[in-house]
Amino acid sequence: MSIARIAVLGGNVEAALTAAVLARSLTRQTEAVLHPEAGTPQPEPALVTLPSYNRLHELLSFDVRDVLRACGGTLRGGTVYRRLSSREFTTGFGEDLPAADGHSFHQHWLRLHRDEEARLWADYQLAARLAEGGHMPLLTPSQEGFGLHLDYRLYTDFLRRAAVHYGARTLDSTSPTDGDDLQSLDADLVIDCSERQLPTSDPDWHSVPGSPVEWKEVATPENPSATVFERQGKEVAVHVPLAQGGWVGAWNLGAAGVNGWSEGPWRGKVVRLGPAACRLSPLAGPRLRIAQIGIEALLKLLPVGGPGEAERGEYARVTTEGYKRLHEHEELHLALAGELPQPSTDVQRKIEQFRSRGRVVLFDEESYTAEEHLAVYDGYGVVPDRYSKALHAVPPGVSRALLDKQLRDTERKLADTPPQKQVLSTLHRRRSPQERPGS
Amino acid sequence: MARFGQQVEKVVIVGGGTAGWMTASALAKLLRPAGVSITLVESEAIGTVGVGEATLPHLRFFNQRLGIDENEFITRTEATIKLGIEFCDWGRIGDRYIHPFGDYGRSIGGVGFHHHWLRAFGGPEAQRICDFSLPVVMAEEGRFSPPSDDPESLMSTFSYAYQMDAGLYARFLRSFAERHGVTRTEGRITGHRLDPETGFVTGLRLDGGREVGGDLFVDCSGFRGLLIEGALGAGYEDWSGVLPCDRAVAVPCESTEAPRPYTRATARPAGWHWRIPLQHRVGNGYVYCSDHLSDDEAASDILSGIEGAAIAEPRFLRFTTGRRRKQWSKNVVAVGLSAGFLEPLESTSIYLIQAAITQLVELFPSDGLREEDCAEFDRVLNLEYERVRDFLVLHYHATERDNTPFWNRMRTLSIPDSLAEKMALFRERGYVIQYKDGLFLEPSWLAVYLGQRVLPKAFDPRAVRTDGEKTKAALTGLATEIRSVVNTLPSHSAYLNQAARVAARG
Repeated sequence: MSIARIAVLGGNVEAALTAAVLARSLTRQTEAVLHPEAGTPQPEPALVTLPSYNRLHELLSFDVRDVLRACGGTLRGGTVYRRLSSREFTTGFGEDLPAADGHSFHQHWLRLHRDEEARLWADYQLAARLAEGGHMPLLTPSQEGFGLHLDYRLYTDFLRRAAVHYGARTLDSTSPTDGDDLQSLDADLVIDCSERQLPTSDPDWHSVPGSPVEWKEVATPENPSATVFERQGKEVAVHVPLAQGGWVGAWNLGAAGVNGWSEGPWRGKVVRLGPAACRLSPLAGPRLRIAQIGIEALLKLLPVGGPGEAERGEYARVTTEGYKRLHEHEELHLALAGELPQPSTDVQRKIEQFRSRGRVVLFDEESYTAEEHLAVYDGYGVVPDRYSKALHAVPPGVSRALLDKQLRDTERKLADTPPQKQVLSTLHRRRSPQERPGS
Repeated sequence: MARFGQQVEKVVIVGGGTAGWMTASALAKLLRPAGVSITLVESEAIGTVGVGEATLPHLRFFNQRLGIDENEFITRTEATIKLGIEFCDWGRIGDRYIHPFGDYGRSIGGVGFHHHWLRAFGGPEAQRICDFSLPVVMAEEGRFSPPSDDPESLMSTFSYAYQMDAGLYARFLRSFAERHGVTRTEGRITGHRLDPETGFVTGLRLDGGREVGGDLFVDCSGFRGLLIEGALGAGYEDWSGVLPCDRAVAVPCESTEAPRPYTRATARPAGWHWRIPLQHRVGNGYVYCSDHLSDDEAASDILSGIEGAAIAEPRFLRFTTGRRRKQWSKNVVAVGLSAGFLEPLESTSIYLIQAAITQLVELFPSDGLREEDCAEFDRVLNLEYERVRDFLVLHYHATERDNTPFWNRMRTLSIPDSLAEKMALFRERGYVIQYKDGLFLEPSWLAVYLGQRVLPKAFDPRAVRTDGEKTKAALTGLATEIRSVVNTLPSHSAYLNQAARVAARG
């Protein structure tokens, strides 16, 4: 299969992102054509990313400061969870915490935590403290280790402009409509990002419970540095702060709706990506993470002339594994919150191993780090029955000194870090990318 | 009554070979100070297999965790440095390549180095990918210096392991373990005691009517799996359908040259020869399939292939490739050959021992045995064994050899689906499947694919975005730089002599 033309279907952020990334990654011999009128976009007004998403911005040569300015964004240090557990807790994006005497920081923490000598896990993580306090370090071009909150419409426009800048073409007039056979489209490869309908009738669709999210705008979000999940009865709301205002999306935990993912996301020349391939609740993970899983798999597997069976199989393996792990993250929250009596076998194993000895089990294609898992277990008050036997040989003073130093270092860095509102105010006083020559 | 939930205060290790003394040393260093007593039972009358003279880089970290001085270790075990394995005659007779412990070049623009190499040179006919690997060039030139911590330095692009006398290593560790409080009990095991209600092992019966009791038993008794199989009937999953070699014959010989910093595996009519150069001798052996070769023929073949005078009689081993169905059953943990056997083509025997010990320490049932510990141990170790198995099968399947019934059989053997998918993706487009866990990473798969003529039909289309001529010039410059760095390094022998001098100074 020779790839001269790739059609990207969808008027949503996923299609714009895919077109931009393909145009940036391929030569001019391959044309990426964006069909923004295809399907019916169901935009979420605000978007959230994980730190790993910065890889795509790096590929697109984006400076995160430009993205924040142009897309009304804020930096995200982590997530605050309210009323899902008996207490509010925060998960910060991971960082390598120091080890001592051959034992990881988390084993030392477990040891003291069991005797109620340690503070909450998140207290030792700078990102979590920044997220809780609304702080953020001064901005750098890549801003590694942090996620973003972005205005959906502005970011989609930003990506479309980037796609065109890198050579993609936008084609409105001949966009396929609902019911068209995508295999017959005039393209060598069709990336379907559209939100035509929930493809539950597809025999490859793996269904999981879910329900629609209703969004409303809020004028002044309290904290620009954290995404906040808040439970009220059977409803959960996600608060996404933006530079100006923010949005709250709410959905019902008990609703018998349907989410899920396709286990055969690449058929013939049609590749499903984003909402065409997977839909999950915000508690599982951001929709841009779903898109990222598909795009990163696709980039490595773009057809190069063979029959493509191996590529299709690998794309299905990597993406379905990634979607499954995201869904399990929601299951983990619900199981620990007492809302899911029978989670999947892998989630049961994760919980069982943490309860047993504080061991964090991670599988292939996980989206969340060991540190984020630890913060979740801690947040729900799971105290392991024991910690590493080998640590019994290390004097408790070593563990105390390690934790004390980490706490002092974290608090010192926190004190040196300005409120994000101040950082954003400075950022927005500078010229936006549209105003810069050559942008 | 022994049961799940009982406190573990006394560990009994059954068998004193490499697996037994590695386990004893690790537990003594890491758990004995926490109040766990450790007893090792072995009999001088029963020989050990002494697997794994060639190792993987992970052993360095095991030794470091125990606080073992590297120079002393090299001196006491007659060890040499290992930078990789040379495979001879595997793709075709006359082919050779080195599977190195290190990278090939560096990725450019987020696209793997080998795609740019394919684009620039079209394949190994024009320029070997080995020329872009520092450890390959070091190995070929017989030079060595330890890697650098500076990620910008070329010297940071490799790791290294050892080739050592496994018998001396076991003796070295015995001394270490006894110094750290392990009790060694000499005696032949004649039986075991089981708790009649729970089926847990409660003790060992030794010759002379003695008994040794314990809470947790680590079975390092070798192929027979005295406790894991003999007492608990854990079962064995036979993988000889995909890896049919079932015999080995070993013959050490005198050295005739300075030791090379790599192991050699040479394909033979019904299996393969190993050659492992140590400081004081060379270890040799023939792994073969008894369907295609008799023991006498194997002995004759290996004796005619060694370069120095043999210093011992040929020693035969019989094995069935596979793994124990449960590696941790009730209060018995299998470590080493009692847990499974994979032929030593990629020097994985000691690595698998080490992986089991690491998991045992992490999952040590400090406040009582639990079924979830056993299940987690099995999950992690099963994954290790399966991923090593696939990598070994690749060596046999990726061949054009058809000159003997054995190679015809291996070439046409039905392989696991997981491997077939990996090979198809590499053939189509040079894609290497990667997992979070698993021993062999992308450079290892590349080494074997490309070394055994599995050439991609195409490379990643993103590689074309770079300027072709400039990329080719940069690659050529890298090969030149690697060679010039290697030329500044001391010889492997000089490095070993220096280690001996430092060890002698204490």
